Amino acid sequence: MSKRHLLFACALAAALLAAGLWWAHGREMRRVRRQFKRLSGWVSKATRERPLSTAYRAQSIGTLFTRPCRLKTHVQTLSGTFTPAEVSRTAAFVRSQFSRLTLRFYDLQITITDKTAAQAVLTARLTGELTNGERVDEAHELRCKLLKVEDAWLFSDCEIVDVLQR
Amino acid sequence: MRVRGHSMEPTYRDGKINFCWRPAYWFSAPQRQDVVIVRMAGRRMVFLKRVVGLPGETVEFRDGRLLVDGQALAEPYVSVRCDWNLPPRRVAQDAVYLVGDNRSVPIERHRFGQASIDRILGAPLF
Repeated sequence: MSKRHLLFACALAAALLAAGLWWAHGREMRRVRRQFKRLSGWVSKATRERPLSTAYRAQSIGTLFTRPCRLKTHVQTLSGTFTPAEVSRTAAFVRSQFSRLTLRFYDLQITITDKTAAQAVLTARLTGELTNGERVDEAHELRCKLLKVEDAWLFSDCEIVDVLQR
Repeated sequence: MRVRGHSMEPTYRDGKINFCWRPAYWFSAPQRQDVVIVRMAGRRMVFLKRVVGLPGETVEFRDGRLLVDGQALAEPYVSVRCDWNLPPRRVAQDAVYLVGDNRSVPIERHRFGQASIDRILGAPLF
């Protein structure tokens, strides 16, 4: 094999390795992004949701969180350390207060910090109507940490960022 | 961008369309009484607020009057007087203090406070 061929083979191998790493990195990003999509889908609530769907969604929300996970919000009952079961119970209670609810995520920026950890910054917007008819429209910046546990990305830490600090 | 909410009424009404003028602060810092656009995590959801306090100043509300460094600030853009009270607080050197024009809601329900100057994307075009 000539020197030219050897150089070409090395360059090709390096390019393939870089493409593989890029693909693997992108794959993890997509998997993290999918967890956010799941969370928004399960938290959201349509009018006249069936009881079976309500129970399934509340149960499913808990499966997206690590044991334990930490939440920091402006509401005391939604702040602290929780188990997945407690997250499910809290989510069920919060969802029961709404007749209609939509959670959407915007400007999601994901950083894979190492093989088993990721960080995300995003804006979450919650719109809906309480059972007493009051309308809700809240947007907050969130900072989340996710850990890869048994090949699944789970939320381990979520906190509201105070963009406007009184 | 579309204005959502009532916190800047009557200056900017809910549902109105506007544009962000990005070069507004390329060569100058935000001034008092400027209306600015402040980003959250990105550009898709932003705050529209008015600058009332500059870096290093002290801001407080006393019986609905806004005081900056102890002096009452004239606010011709506020149409509804309020009874807000907020103890004095100093604005950080890299921040400005922002409040909405609509003071008709209770202080607990109005989102205001100091934001880092880095977060200011620009000003509304009109």
